Amino acid sequence: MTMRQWQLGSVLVSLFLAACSSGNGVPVCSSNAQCATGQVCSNGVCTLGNGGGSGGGSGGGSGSGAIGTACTSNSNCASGDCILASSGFPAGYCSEGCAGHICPSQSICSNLGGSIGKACTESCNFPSDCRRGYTCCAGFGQTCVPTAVCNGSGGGSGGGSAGGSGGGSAGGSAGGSGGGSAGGSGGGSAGGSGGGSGGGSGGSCTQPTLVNGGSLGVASKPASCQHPVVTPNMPTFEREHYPHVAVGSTVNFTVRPNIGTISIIQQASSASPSDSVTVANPNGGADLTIPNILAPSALNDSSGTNYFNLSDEFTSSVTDFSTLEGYLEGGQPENATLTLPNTSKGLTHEAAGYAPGLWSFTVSDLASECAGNGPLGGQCKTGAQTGQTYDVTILTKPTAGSTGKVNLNIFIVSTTNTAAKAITDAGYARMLRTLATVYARAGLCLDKVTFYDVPAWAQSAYHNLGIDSTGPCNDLDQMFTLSAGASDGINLFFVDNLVSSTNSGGGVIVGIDGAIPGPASAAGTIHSGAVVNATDVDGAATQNACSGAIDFNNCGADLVAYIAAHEGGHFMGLYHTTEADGTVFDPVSDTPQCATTCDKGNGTPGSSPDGYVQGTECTDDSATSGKCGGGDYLMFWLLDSNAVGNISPQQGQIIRANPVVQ
Amino acid sequence: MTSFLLCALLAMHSATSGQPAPLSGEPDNTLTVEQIQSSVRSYLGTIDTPIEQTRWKRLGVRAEPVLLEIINGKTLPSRRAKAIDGLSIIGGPSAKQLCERISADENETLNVRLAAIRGLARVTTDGALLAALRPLLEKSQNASVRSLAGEQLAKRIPSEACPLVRAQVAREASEVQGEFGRAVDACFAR
Repeated sequence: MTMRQWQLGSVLVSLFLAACSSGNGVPVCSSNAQCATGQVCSNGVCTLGNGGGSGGGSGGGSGSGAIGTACTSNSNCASGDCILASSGFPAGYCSEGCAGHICPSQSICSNLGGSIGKACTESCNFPSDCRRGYTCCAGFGQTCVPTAVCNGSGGGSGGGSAGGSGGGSAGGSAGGSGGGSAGGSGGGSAGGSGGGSGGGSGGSCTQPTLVNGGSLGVASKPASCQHPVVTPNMPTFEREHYPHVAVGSTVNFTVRPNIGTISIIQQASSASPSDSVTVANPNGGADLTIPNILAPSALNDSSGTNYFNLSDEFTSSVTDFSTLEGYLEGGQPENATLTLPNTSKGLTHEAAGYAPGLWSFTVSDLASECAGNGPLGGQCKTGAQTGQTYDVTILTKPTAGSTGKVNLNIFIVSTTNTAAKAITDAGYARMLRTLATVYARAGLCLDKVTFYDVPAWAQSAYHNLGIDSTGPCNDLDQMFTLSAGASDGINLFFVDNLVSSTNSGGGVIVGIDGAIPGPASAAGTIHSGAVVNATDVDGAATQNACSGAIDFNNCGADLVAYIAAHEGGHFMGLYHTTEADGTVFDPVSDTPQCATTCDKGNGTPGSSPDGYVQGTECTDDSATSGKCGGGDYLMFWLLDSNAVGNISPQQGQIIRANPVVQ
Repeated sequence: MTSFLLCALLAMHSATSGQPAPLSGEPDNTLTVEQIQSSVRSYLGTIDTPIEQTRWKRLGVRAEPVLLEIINGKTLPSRRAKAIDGLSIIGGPSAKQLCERISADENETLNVRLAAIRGLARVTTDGALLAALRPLLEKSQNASVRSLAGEQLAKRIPSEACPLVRAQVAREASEVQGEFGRAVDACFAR
């Protein structure tokens, strides 16, 4: 059904209702007997019943079916749009066209292909959540779609954006190598129609396995700051390891055929390198302190094609980061990871893989660039440095499929909670279901979830976590070292309280990442995780907020799930789609942006800007740029009433390409 | 080249912090109640970006009833805590009394209570700070409350507070002394 047909359907509904009402809008029926055969009188209006109504013993329907409920005509649906059984949707399916606008709560925008096109489909966690004839389909963003549609499709969840299509996997089952571009880069264009043509199955996620992993971490607080160097836990054939490489040295590594991911992890292996450099402030005033950035220079394939240069981060005139081969934002002293692909251009290598052969790069950091002869040479007032050495690991991973699996490690850093309690807690159970639902929109299934305790000294020191001090010896980074020995996965530290108390801003926050991306498969480093404020997990703002559908704003478990998914998204390489001030955007072309010009103060035209782009100002997802959209995306900088947790097809590709995803 | 590089560094710095350019911090009296409500809802939704104090101050004391409704309502604890942060930054007439009440409430959610202690320190002058926070440092049943009270005191009035903080740490059981890390660090930093 095209958009025009959807609108026509709505018009017909209006005409139908008008015909059933008196001229002044007074309802014209008071009993079923006054309605035509097959209709019932509901709220004074004759409609087709679909069961489940308030009834009065009549069994009549209310005519207000939510997304996903059965229907036999448009009038059964609150949206006014019914996908009929004759279209392959058993017993009909209330839906709503979603080209250009956000789906209602508990549904996301999916490209159903064929004559239907993009329509809202009902969110779900498991197959049992869906009606007979339907399954909870990961290929459609974990929503209820007809089993036949799910099995016949390679995807089509558009994450609610105009991008919609997801392209459709050319085949293969979950994680398979069926070729084709899963959610290919073309999926971002409005009106794309890749869904439904693949032949493979996105499949459904099964419930994750929950494990109590016991306690990790040393029994007593270390006497000094920890700087662990960790060898990533990937299989040897996907890992090359070079300890003690001096900055300025060249490292060669092999890229095999069909490699879709290259991840380079640098860890300080000598006396600590500079944590920061200072430069003169061109606007006057105090010098600026910039975190030392660890990243390779001259990352080239065997033909000399360049994929990343650290100095380009400062000297390039490129403003659209999605056109870069690789992108790095922010400094990560002592330990940093660059994972490709993390941009739209980088994703173009996902289908066929990066060029096989011998690749090379120069081990570098900002401090050494300041001390060198390159474009940054002599630019730093302090912090320039030579001679430091790094432990370097290169992880390579085959091209990712349209689905993947990831393990979660949840560290309970609390004086009132434990792993044993959390694993049986209803709030945590709901939190995991909701988190699974959100990640399924990216074709990502939770596999194993391991709950860990931390030693008593660490509970005491870190459960009320402050993030104001900087550098590798701060509480945040030191807490992450507790993950040493954890199984491979995303490490999420659930704390009782999380606070920033800087003079310019601060107060309670609900999440923080250790690094973007995190060092996949290298547990125990100073950046091996992300933090989630767990205070809300058993809370509810309204009586039934946690007893029904996902409610990010009122159900604490759902809110915490959103935060966990967001911070986990950072760990897997996703940036904020739009930063708070509307001037910095992620390096992905199919996520809607919300620029400074969208800042109307409070979403009200005519009011003065407040310097923040808010969700209410970022609701137009009809284009990825030039509009004010993205407030409904998981990686938007805040979670407000517009938050849905959408993930674009390209974001899904980046997530699935990360080495932490199997 | 140099200026371009430095501008780029500045941009990078901005990107790293994710913070917008500063506003004046003066209340914007042209804001409607609806606009204030909308901003409050958004600010309470921040995930990992601390809200600049100037943004809260821009809303002015007219935001107080909105924030009080949230703080005293059934909203989720993290949002109540954020609302207390906002209220104490704005510094409305009810801020001090509310922060005193909540910080002393042993039954209050920890996260909310800690926000109230920070708020109480924020709205209390140096001269009155010891009287406000010393009871919490020495008598609260909760170690996190005691440690945060000590931290706030040590940061603001170290010469008076640090002897008290050290004495309190000495009285604490070994398993909770780790709570006092920031308080002790604040004393060492002086």
